[in-house]
Amino acid sequence: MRLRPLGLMVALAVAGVVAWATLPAPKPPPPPVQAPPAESGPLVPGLLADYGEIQEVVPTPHFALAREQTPHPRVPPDFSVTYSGVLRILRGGTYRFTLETDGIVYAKLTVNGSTQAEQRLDAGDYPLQIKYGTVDIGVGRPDVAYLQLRWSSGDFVDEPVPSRVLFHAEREIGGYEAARTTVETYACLSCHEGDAATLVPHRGPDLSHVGTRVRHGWLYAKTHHVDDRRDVAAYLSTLTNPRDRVRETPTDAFRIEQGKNLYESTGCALCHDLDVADKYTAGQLAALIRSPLDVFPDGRMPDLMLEKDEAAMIAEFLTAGGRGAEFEPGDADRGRQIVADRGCAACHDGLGVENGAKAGPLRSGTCRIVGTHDVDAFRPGAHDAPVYQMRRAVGRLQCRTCHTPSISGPPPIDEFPHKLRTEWLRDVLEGKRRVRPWEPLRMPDFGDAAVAPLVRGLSAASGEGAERRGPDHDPAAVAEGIRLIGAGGLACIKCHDYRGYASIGTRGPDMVFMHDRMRFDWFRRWMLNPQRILEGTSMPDYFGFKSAAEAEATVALLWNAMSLDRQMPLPAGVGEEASYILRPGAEPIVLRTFLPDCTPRSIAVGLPGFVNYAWDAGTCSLRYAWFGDFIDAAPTWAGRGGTPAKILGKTFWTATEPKGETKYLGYALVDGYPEFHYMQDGVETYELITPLDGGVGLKRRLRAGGRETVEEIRK
Amino acid sequence: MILLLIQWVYEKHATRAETERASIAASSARVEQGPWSVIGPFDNAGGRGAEGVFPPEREIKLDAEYVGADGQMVRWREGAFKDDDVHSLDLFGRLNYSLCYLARTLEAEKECDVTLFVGSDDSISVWVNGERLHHNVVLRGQPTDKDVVPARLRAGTNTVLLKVANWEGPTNFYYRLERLPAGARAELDRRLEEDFPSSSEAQFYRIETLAVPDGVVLEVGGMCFTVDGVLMICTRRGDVWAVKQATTKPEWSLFASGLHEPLGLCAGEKPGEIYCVQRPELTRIADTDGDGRADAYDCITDAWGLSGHYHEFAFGPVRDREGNFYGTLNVAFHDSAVGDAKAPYRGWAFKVTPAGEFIPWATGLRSPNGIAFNLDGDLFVTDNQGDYIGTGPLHHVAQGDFHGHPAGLPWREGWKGDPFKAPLAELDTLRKPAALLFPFGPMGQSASEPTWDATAGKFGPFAGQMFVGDQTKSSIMRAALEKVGGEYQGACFPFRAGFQSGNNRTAWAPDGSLFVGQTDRGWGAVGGKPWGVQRVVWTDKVPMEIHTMSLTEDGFELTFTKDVDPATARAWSIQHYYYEYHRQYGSPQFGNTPVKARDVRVEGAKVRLVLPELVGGRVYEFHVEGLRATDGSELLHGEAYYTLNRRRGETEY
Repeated sequence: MRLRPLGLMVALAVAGVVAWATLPAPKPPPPPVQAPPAESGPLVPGLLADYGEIQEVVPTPHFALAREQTPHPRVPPDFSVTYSGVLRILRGGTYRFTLETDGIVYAKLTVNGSTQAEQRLDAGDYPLQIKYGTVDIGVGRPDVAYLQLRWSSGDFVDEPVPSRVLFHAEREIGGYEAARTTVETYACLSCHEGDAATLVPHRGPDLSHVGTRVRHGWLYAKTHHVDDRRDVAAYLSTLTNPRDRVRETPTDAFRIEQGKNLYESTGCALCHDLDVADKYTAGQLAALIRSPLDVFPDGRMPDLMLEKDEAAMIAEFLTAGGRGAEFEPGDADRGRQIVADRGCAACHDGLGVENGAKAGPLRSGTCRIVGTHDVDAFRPGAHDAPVYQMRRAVGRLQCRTCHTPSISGPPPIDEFPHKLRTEWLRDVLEGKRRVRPWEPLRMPDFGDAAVAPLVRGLSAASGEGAERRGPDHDPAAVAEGIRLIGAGGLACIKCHDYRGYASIGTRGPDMVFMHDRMRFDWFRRWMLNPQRILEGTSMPDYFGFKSAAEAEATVALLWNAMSLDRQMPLPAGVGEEASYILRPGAEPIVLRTFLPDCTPRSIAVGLPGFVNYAWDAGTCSLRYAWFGDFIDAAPTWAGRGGTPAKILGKTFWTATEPKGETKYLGYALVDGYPEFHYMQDGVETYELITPLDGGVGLKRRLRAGGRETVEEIRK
Repeated sequence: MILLLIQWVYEKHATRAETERASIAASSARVEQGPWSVIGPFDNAGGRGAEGVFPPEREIKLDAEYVGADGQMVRWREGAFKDDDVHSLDLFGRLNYSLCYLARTLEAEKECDVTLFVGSDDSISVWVNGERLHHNVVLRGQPTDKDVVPARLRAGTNTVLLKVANWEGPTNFYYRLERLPAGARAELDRRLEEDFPSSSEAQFYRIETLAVPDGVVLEVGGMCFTVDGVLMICTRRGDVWAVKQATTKPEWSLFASGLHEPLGLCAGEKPGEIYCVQRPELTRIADTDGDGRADAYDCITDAWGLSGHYHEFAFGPVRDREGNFYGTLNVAFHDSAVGDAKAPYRGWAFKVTPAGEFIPWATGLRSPNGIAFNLDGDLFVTDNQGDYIGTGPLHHVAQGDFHGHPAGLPWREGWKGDPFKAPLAELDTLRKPAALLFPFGPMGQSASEPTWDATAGKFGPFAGQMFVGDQTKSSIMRAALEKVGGEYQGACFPFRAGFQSGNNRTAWAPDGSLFVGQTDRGWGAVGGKPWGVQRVVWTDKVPMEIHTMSLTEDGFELTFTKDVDPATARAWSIQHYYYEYHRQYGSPQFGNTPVKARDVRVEGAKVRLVLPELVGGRVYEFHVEGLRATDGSELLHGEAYYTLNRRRGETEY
């Protein structure tokens, strides 16, 4: 936590990790108690969060908020909250609870009516309550407010309590949430002034080119709620763009069958039914599938990023046998007037008519549709509530349709706040990066605006104040970490891709992205007990028969190697076929070849442990050293060759310009290491370069004129 | 797959073809192949099509019609694709990111195991009777029989289906059916070659292929036999392999590694010692502790320049009787397609004394990928056609000579100015003509390392003559030189073709066979293999050949290996021509002049051709048809190419 002015220190005396185990005189755990009857009513997932006037259901109590942020847009930044519900224990044992918090005046956890940190609990449901309150003593709330409930038992290591064990007795939660759903559904804010930051109204499709995009008969059928729909359909039919290319191509039974397979496997069918044959021709629908965000900018219909032919086949399947409705077009000019008068442009873009002025703010008790809902709360003035907004976006974009806790589909979304780094999620959602491109089910592109709350809220939903960092990178341990990843070690590469080389087994995400993707705490827990996080996963448990210390040490080694990201050297078993990448094993590799930043008489030497150097026989001097993979010899060995070999890895040391009069005499191999022999300013010199005994780097031993000097070059 | 238990039978008949047919018939089932049908294009956007499924994988219905790429209707059509050939599949008006299928029926007389050899640009999948036996998703060009697909055919009609998926550029495929499993075929080939040499040349000189250990890329840059008879082979990737008992039971081990594209080897004074020219230096490589691996890499000289250009190859060494080393240095192409020598002594031959003193020896060379001493101790260098070099020459190199390419002249003592600006006529007067020209085309396209036969008859009737490999045509040529007016000139002849890859280096084995080291990388070669080692073994049969060819006062005297039947020695076609000395790359033949022999006199093994006149500075090309020896044997190679620089009695060119 950050230091606060002295006056606050008293108020924050209980801040920091409330480590319950440090409370006075640890007593033996009390005898197990029978689970008492929980609250009445059927249990449903989530805890009830009570902020006073506002209530909501949250999947977990975790949050991490910056200064002006709150858990809920209608709750001020200096808030108190009570989470209550039921904790479900599936396996009896001794459980140890921790609240990690900051920014509080008080935080109190009660499980089964007890504030004991360690409790013996049999399988069953137990009441759980967390009380948390921030303080404002005139200088505003502390910069960081966070809360994370963690637990451990004999069966699993310390972890944030997962949503799957938290429940509450179902009951009516009136007020804000119910009203919000209604106001969003009816898109009230399209016309009324209101809190656009909190509410995301449904937008209608962009109708700019609707006359090109859909069958005209469907426009007639669709506008049945409008007065003279013949006129309106006639007008909409004129909204075309001559540059739009909708191409109709023939189809056949095979393509329709392929289209059906794609429709079912890529993800379309998870949201859609089949009823579009009368709305689109195949060409029109294929165009929509390829760029849905042009028509639905809010991401309601996301872009599956399908190949052109895939989209065409899906469209051919969905439109097979379709036929536009017949109608007699009316007067387009009159249709335009109707569109303008009815205010269609409030919800639809691209109609070619002006949108009218906004109506006044929403007022409770005045509207037939919103009825008794309290809509006064949707006036401007909401607070920034990133976790709340993230949850709304997850619902809106229907992420849970695919990201369920299942081993056959994409990873479960509830793990993401603890698992993913924000930058990685941004890469996926905005940068369209995919780590499982082989999966038939496609992760769509929803558009940057729609996914912004996800990126923003991810870290806040973890409840971690500062990210739990892994061990610091230790170059000396890289070689061992890479060995573990390789064929002779844990053989991660048998299933995981590695630096773009596809694995030969079940394919898993590329190893060189792991460190970029994951938080250390999650990675550690995943390695130690993958089944705990995702039951049925094919990720093996490597440590069942190992001691905890051994397991932790191995996890640290892997993390250390992975922290090199795309610079990770190639382990045994990856890309060995048809490759020009040279890999020193137990013995060094010496190769005379052209190298960058050397005279043409250069010598590349790769040592065991991923340390490499360039020695220049033209100047009789060590020029530079690099860490990671050795060299790619393709430029010198492929085709006519003879161009400088490519240095892989990263240079960590470069010599100053060589000086003096030299004459190169050769080298001898000493235990496989070249000892260079040359005259330096008239003195016969021998230079032997070996790996450092401890750490990463080079040991350079010079013998000249009866004297021996040793220099260490460290990474 | 467990192979069907069929007795492999070798049935010897009168000819090779009959024997092959009969043996295959006796060992396998008869398979009739139907015509090809082809359908496409289907879409291969992003390469996804190679893994996708299209209608022909479901059903092969030759009258069906489907929607293909870009929505065009596609239907099966016949394709005339001969087996054992590469066929373009540019049939559909769309090349990039498209794929197609090919299908044919195979009528098998009974259940049998066969081998399909397929190749493709790019990916290929193979189905037999609906079962996918092969699936190679790959980006490649130049399909040959790269993929070997063993297949089981059932009695009656079988269907083979190929899928060729293209990324960008041309697309094509290769297909061949072998009625035997691959192992049986290799055994059959061995027996056939033994009983029926595959060419007329093969009756006299057999080519044997050395099995190279798995994982070794043996692009041969140099070869020699050490004093204790170990064959050393250095590779363009910088390794040196030691092969013990190379002619009997080869044993391979890695002797040295890490060299910078070494392009020559010669044996040292003791076992485990070799000398090598690598790009930057002349190196002594030695195993000083006797463990079979080199541990000393001593630089003898690195006095020549190197700018870092890929074309700055260095060749050698060879040694004279005093133990001096000789090598040659390529020019570079920094600014244009004409060779230059920005670094010292590019375009030169050099000498290095045993003490390491570097002596620039002669210049005017371009890409001199061959250096050797003849049996009299004179130094010869081959060069490659190119700028200032009309066709591939063999030069006799003496100290101070200039052989025609001007790039190296600035490094000559006393030379002033830009040699490329010197008048060509002036350069021409400085130039020493090649002892022998290899006419580009008929006599190879890229002569490599020459070597002289010192086997005293173990290699057949050509003792003392020169043999030289050709890297492009994967052949070996033979030459008979003579001295006229004190300078070398002479004739070259075809000797042996049919090697597996570009012949780059030669080395005489102690048993008198000739080892040939090969590579086709960067400069293509016929033969189909990228690299390897083969050896040429004399079969103890003497071919009827032109043995030597000597210039006379009024024509030529040809000596044959056997007595000539005078009645068959009349049909001579003779012409002469020259190659232009100019800056352009290579030269066509100029001034082609037919010559009619005034008289043809036959006496024993000698034929004397009397010509109306002899013109200096010309290549004389001879063809003879129907010539036989008195024992009835046909002349093996009825052609010869004599480089006539000087006539008898002339001392000036």
